[in-house]
Order: sequence, then C-alpha cells, then structure tokens
Amino acid sequence: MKVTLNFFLSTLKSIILTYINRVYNWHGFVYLCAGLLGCFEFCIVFYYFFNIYSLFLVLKLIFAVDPFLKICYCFFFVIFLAPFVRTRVYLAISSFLSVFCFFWIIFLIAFFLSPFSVAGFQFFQKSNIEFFNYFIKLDFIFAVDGISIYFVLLTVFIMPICFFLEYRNKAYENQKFFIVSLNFIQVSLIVAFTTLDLLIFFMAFESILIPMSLMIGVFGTNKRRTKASYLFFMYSFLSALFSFFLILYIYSIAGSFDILTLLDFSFNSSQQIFAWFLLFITFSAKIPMFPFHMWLPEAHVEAPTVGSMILASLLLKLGGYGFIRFSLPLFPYGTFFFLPLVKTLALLSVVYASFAAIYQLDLKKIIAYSSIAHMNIAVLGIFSLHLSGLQGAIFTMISHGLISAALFLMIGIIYDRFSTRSIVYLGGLSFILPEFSSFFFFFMICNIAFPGTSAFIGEFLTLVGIFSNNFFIFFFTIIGSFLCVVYSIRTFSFVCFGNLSARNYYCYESVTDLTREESYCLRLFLFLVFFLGVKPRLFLVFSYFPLKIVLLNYI
Amino acid sequence: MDSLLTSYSYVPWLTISIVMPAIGAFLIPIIFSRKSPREHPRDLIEGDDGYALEQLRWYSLFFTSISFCSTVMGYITQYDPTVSGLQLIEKWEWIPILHLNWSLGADGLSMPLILLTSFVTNLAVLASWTVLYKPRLFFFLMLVMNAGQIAVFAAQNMILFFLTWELELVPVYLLLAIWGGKKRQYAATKFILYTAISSIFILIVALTMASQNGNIPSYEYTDLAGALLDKKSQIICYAALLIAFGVKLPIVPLHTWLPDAHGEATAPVHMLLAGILLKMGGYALLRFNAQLLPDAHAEFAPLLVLLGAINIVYAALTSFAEKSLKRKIAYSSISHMGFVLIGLGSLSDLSTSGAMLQMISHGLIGASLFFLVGAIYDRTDTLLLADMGGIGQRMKRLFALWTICCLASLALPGMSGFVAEVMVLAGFTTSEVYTLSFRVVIAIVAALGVIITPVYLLAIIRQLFFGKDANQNNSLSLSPENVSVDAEPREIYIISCLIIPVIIIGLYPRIMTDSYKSSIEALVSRDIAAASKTIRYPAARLISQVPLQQAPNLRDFS
Repeated sequence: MKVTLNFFLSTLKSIILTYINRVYNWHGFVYLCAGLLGCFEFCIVFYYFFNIYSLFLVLKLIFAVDPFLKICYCFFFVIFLAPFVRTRVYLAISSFLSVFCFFWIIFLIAFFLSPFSVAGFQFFQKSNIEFFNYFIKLDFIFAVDGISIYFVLLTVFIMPICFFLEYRNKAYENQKFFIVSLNFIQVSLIVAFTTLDLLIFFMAFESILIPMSLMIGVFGTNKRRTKASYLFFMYSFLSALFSFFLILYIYSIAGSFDILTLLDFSFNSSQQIFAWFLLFITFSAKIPMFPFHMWLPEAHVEAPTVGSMILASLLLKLGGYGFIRFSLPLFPYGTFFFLPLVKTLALLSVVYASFAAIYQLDLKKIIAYSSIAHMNIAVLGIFSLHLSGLQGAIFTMISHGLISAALFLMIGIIYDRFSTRSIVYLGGLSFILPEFSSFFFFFMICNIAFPGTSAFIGEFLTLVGIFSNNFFIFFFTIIGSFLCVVYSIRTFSFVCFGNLSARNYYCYESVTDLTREESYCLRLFLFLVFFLGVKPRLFLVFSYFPLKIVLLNYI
Repeated sequence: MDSLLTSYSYVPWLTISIVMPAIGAFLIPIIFSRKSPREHPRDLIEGDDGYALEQLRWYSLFFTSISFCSTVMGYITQYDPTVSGLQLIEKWEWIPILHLNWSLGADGLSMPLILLTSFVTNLAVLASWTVLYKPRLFFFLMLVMNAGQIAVFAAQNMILFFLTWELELVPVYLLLAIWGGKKRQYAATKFILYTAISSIFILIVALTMASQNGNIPSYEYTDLAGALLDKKSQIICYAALLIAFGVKLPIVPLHTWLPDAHGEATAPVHMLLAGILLKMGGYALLRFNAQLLPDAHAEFAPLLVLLGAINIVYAALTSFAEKSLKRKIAYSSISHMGFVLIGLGSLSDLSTSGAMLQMISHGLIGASLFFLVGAIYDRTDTLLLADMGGIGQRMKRLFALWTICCLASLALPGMSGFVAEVMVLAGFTTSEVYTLSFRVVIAIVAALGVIITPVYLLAIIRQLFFGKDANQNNSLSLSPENVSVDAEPREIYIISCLIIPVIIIGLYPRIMTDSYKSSIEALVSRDIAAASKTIRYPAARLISQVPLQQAPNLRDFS
C-alpha cells in the first residue's frame, strides 16, 4: 500500500509539473507547486512510515533544485511586501529571510556541493526570460562553483548581521526604506555572485549602486554625505559603463552573453586586449586600485555603520570576483598583455594606501585605506597566476570581509557613544569600555595578519604566490605588511590606551560598554576569524579544481 | 588514530608542556568570582578586580608547574644527552596547504633552554604575587606566554616557529602597555613595532629556503637543512635573519627598544623579558644562522664577533650613564649578550658551548636581578638611583640577596657567569680560524667590558645600600609604612631557586654543558668544514682584513 501510494504521488506530481511547465513555461509557479506537493508528500510519508531518506529527498526537492532562483523569488516577494506591513514587522520578516538564506546556503554546501566536481559549475540552471528573448538572447543562468561559493557564503553571513544590528536602533524616519535597500543589496549580490551571464552580472553589479548611494546620501552622518554619495555613484557608474559597451561588443562578436559559450569562443589578440582593458577599468574602480580609489574613503566616512560594513566586506569583493571569474578565463592574452600594468598599479596602491593610512586621523579613513591595501594584496595574488596565490587571494578577500566588517561595526559603536571618530579626541577607552577594547585589540591584531587568524592564512598563501614569480613585488608587498602593523598598533594605542581625554570625561558617566547584541555579533566574527585561521582547509578545499581550470590557460 | 598510537607510543611531554598552560589560560574566565566585574565602569578605573586573586595565583602556578614538570619528565625519560640528533619528536599534520605541521622536538640546542623557560616562567608567576591590577588578564597573559615561549624553542617547523614567535609578542605588548610604568605606551609600541616588523624577515627567509627545496615545499628544519642553497641566497637569508634575531637578542644598533621596554615593565614581565625573550634571539641565531646556513655563517662569523665586542663595551659604558636602576640593569644584559655573539662567531666548540652556557646563566641571573629591582621598587617607589641610598641597614636580607646576584652578574669565579665568559674567551682566543691580531684585539676589548661590568654593578650596590639613609633628608623614598619591610620568604625562595643553580653550574659546569655538548660539537664541526671548504684562501688568514670587507658585494645579486 505504501509503495503504491508513493508511486502514485510521484507520478501525479511529475505529470502535473511537466504539463504546467510545457504549457506556461512559468517556472515560479512550477517551483511553488513542487514545494507544496513536496510538503504534502512529506506529510503523508511522515505519517505512514518515517523514513529519513524520503525526508532528505523532500528537502532536496525544495531547497537544492534551482536554489538561487528560488532565493531571488523570495527576496522579490519580500521587497514587494514592503508597503503593506509595519516597519518592525517588515524588519522581522526581512531578517528572518536573511537568516534563512544563510542556513539554506549552508545546507547546500553541507550536503550537495561537491569539492571534487571537476566540471566546476554546480546547481546549474538555465531559464530563459521571454520578454528579453524577443530582442536578444538573455538567459538567467545560475550556478556556483568553488570560487563563487565563498562570496555567496560571505554575503549570506554578513547580511543577517546587518539586519540584526537594525534592532539596536529606535525607529527612525525612512527605516523601512533602509531595510528595503538592504534586501535589494543582498539579492543583487547573490545574483551577481551566482550568475554566469555577463549581462545579468552587470545588471546586478550596477543595481547595487542605487540602494548603496541612497544609503550614503540619505542615512549618512554629516553634511558631506551628498558629495560622498555623488562620488561613489559617479566612480562606480562611469567605470561600469565601459563594461556595458564591452558587453555589447562581445555580443556582436560572439553572439552570446553566456560565459560557458564565451569560454569556447576564441577572441583574437586585439579583441582580448580591448576587452580586458575595459573590464579592468570597471573592476579596478570597484576594488579600488590606485587612480580610481578616491571614492572609497569618502564613501566610508559618510556612510552609516551598516553601509560601511556592506561596502567594505561585500562590494569591494565584486571587483576581485570579477577578475577571477571574467578577466582571467575569458581573456588570457589580455591578462598577459596587461600583467605589468596591473601589478604596478596594485603594488602602488598597497604602498600608497598603507602610507596614507598612517597619517589619517579619522578611524573610518584608516580602515578604508587599510581595505585598499588588503584588497590590492589580493589582486597581486590573483595576478601572480599561481594556485597558492589565487587561493590566498580568495581567502584574503573573505577574511578581509569578516575583519573589516567587524572593525567598521566597532567604529560605529564608538561613534554611537562619543559622536566622534577622530583618534585625536579618543583615548583611554580601555578604562571605560574594557570589553570593547579587548575586541578592538583582537580585530586590530587580525588586521595585521597575525598568525592564527584567517588573515594570516590568506596573506601567507598570497605571498607564496607572489614570491613564486617576482621577488621585487614580494618585497614591496612585505613593506605594505610592515606599515599595516604600524598603523594598526598606532590606532589601537591612540584609541584604547593613553589618558582619558577631557571629552571622554564628559561622557564618562553615561557611557556603557558593549550591549548584548553588539557583543554577540563581535563574538561571532571573532570565532569565525580564528576558526578559519586554525582550520582553513574546510574552506580552501572547494576552490582547488575550479582554480586549476582557470589556470589551465596560463600553463 | 591507530597509526598515531603505534608511532607515538610514548608520552608527548613537549606538547603537554605547551598545551597545558594554554588550556589553563583559556579556562581562566570561568574561575569563580564573587562580584560581577562590570557593575560600574568606575570599578575598573580604580583598578583591581581582585575578586578571585588568591585562586588565580595558585591556579596559574599550578599550570606553570605542570608545564615545568612535564619538561623535566621529558628530559629525564626521553632525552639522551650523548646523542646529537633530534629527540622527543612529536609530529602531527596541522594545515597541510601551508605545509604547517605541529612538529616539536628537542636537541642539545633547545633542551636546556626549554627547561630554563619553564623554570623561569614558573618563578615569574610566583613573582607576580604583587600584581593587584586586573589579575585575571595578567595571569591569562602569563600562561599564554609560557606556552608560546616553550613552543618557540621546541618548534621544528619554520612556519610553526614564526607563528609562535609572533604569538608571544601580543602578551608582551599587553603586559607592557597595561602594567608598565609611566612611559608604557611608548615602550610597548616601540617594542611591538621593532619585533613585529623584524619578524617578517623570518617569513621571507622561510619562503626563500622552502622554495629552494624542490617541488613540494617543506618547512621542517630537517628538510631545510638538506636544501642546498647557493652561497648568494644563503648570504641574503643570513642577513635577513640576522636583522630579525638581532632585534631580539639585541645586537647594538637594533637594541633601542630594550631599555625602554625593560625600563617600563613590572618585575615578573621583566624576568620573562630578560630571562627568556633575549634567549630566543640567541637560540634562533644558533638554530638557523649557524645550523642551516653554514656557508654564510663562515662569511658572517667575523662580523658577529665584532658586533659582540661592540655590544659588550658599548652597553657597559652606557650603563654608567643611565640614572634609572632598571635601565642600568637592562644595558647590563645587552652587554652580557655580547658574549653570546662572540661565542657564535668564534667557530670553536668550546666557545660556542660557552655562548650556550652564557644564555642559560644570564637567564637565571638576569631574572633574579630584575626580580630584585622590582622588589626594591615596591619598597621605595622610585627607580632613580639618586633618590635611593642607605637602605642596607633596614633591609639586611635584601642587601644580601642583591650582593649575591650582582656578584653572579659580574662573573665572580665560582658562579656560572664566570665559567661561561671564560669559556667564550678561551675558546675564541684559541680558535684557529682567526688571525692572532684579530683575536688579541677582540679579547682585549671583551676583557675591557668584563672590567667595566663590576664597576657599575658595585656602584649600584653602593648607591643603594651604603651611605646615608636617603629617607632622613629626602622624603621621596621609603614611604613610612614600608620602612621596615625586608625581604619576605617568597622573595628569598625565588632568588634562592635562581641562584643555587648558578652556583652549582659555576662549581661543576659539566652538569650543564654535557647536556648539549654533542649537539654543539656536531654544529661547530659542520660550520668549520663549511668555512674551510668555501673560502678560497687559507682559513687562518680569513680575518687579516677588516671583517666588513668580507661582506658580499651587492652588485653580484642583481
């Protein structure tokens, strides 16, 4: 009887779904039906005979079939829900979805992602959008491999914390708008990191600009926020415009936006040089590299705490991810052609940003310049074209995502309490905020790539890669690390040691140490950073084969 | 697990001695305390969350004692002093992608220093009975330091060495910055900048040496020793390592962090700084420069000797000019480290083993002297010698202890310092490698240093204890409630623990030298072979020219 029931159910399901799929070609409805039927099936199976395997099958059907499109649907649903619920309820819904996404991705990685898949792309899914297909052939292609999964993971880890931090605040004007922006940023980031279609990638890449620049311009701290927002938007948008032209150009040559098609297409050398350079402008403004870096300190200084966290830990990673995903595999000749340029610029950025960080007085500017330095070390790792260098670059980016997010959170905590970020006015915080000071110390230590933290693993692997092809570059990167020690220790001792300044005496009675939420967030970051530093293998294992494939062009 | 049990059928004493203090450190937060530590921030400003002070003290003493006992057990049960190779080998894979293994071991170079470290740290915890301000954090850091220091000496993987070398910086930084004297911020920042920046050279050299090693890089010392670097890269590596370890030792142009750091540290931290941290530099010079890079060592040996002579005389002379008691003693330890440098550069086994003995004996004597400085500071609340004087009548026992320690430090015959210095100088002057004139000049300079040392040490004794009581005419020193406080039993116990080995070694040095003799002999014979093999002209004429001319011509490397 049981067998019959199961057979009957699955047959029914497949008939219905196939029918709907054929007739309407409407995937969302199909997934909804699949989910509902799955739940139904689950209930029946659970009622008649408990079988862990069928439970697993149901979970797989719901969560592991085309997961990223489902995530997008969920987010769009929540975004369109905004006008109909109250702010607090909306915050609860959004943060629930964000946390849910985190567990969703963890579930995928734990059970379905294979580190040994040589083909690379997993959860591959291709669904065409009819509206666009009348004009150009545009597919929603989603897939992850061992490179992008780290960035997806970082996104779904950082964003719930951003939502969580919103609970600290009392309700303020336009809070719902802020939450919608966060949702929008998260879904755009997930799309950008999982899509294999160039045009979709750039749509997601640029769609982040709107919520982000509004976040800076509307919720920023000072009067200069308008200018910062303007700078941020202009730098990112204008540089991305080059890539937009490039995409059209590629489409006119190769007739597709699909990376998998483009990988088989052979561009000639002049096309490669042209294309690579345009992509480089886009990504180098995002990383940011030396001539295009001015927007970053401005934007950081003016952005709200959550905005800074997202900016440093997630948005900058789009540039590095773009290099690994698009520039390296698609245009190997272009890479070789511009290798000296990109290495010079990255090296210049490392040294320049490190020196600049030493002379800053604003805490956020210090961390912003240190972000520039770290991201450019990652770029050097990427363009060392060495397996360790690439792995190290990815690891550096991930650990920098965690550490800089934590540091910006801590700076936000300082700003909430003292209304200043200048290290001139701060001092002696270890007396009044002992818990804060110890966390600040740990994250500063992480920032200087101290052994035992994730930053050390990343930087060490990167340095192995850099060392293997050029000692000169290696030497100057090391100088960047020297300077990192200098400004980190300087910042820490200015802020936490020394005497309490008069200004702090003023707030001294009213200031409290970390609240429980802040403390938990920081502990989470700290645990992760040290865990990755001690057991990096769990996280490096996925990137081995995909990076080998990327490097096949360069043997 | 099976293979693990079969291949390591004995007890991993070294791992126990490293891991136990670390575990102890991370369990400190759960020690029961009566009050919540964060009732009001003002409690913390007034210092002292001494809610579980007594428990904390005995707790940390317990864990450091476990560490000490396990190193002693390792020495007794598994260490054979007649064997020159590596013993007590413990090796587990940790992070394969970095080729980082948890591989520990001890040979003649490291075993005495491991014992010294656990011994001195144990006494330093006993010495920190006087610490009242934030004891929880203080003892946490002391335990972490204990683990890190033993790991530095026991590590057999260069990345693990780098990791522990860096790891021990953070506790020292915090111990200086939180419990230090008035200029503590400056001192702590200077310390961490000097040492953290110089230690990056270790990483560079590790990468360079491992990349020469073939397809699969390995950072194990045994594999690095097998990697045959060409002479140019050896020399580059040697110079980089000399900077890295020269900061720690310290070698004179790189020494300026030390008087500041020592001048600001509290007594227990001071004991660790002088007793152990300086030894890390000497140990690392022996381990890496002399053992792994023999060809470059042959080139650089005269430079080491010269730097050693400069260290001895310069630091001894500077010690005169200093007004603060702590800084005087700090410079005296720089001066003593000069003998280690001469012993390293002399390329003779008598002298090198003298250098080793000097490290051990200075570890004991330096720790005891710095502890006594702390004891004096507790009683007089000043470090300026000008404000002190005539306390000998009130503190008779302290006077006796001071005198013994100063005599030990100025190398009185019968103390270990004397044996060590004589071994270094005798070995150097009989070394066949150098010309007679060079040997004579260096010996005279070093002897000059030996003469200056008693002068300033005895001057300290005179100013401190003899003469008029400063309290009569100067209200600065000797606050009234402390007037009659002489050395308490705890202090006498600590000093006697440190001084009795000094006397035993001084009377019968073989008790120490035998434990590392074979390792040193193997090391030196390899270095001498390298020196005679690589140098084109006869080894006896090596230093007829100015030693710096032996340094590599930089144009060759481009």
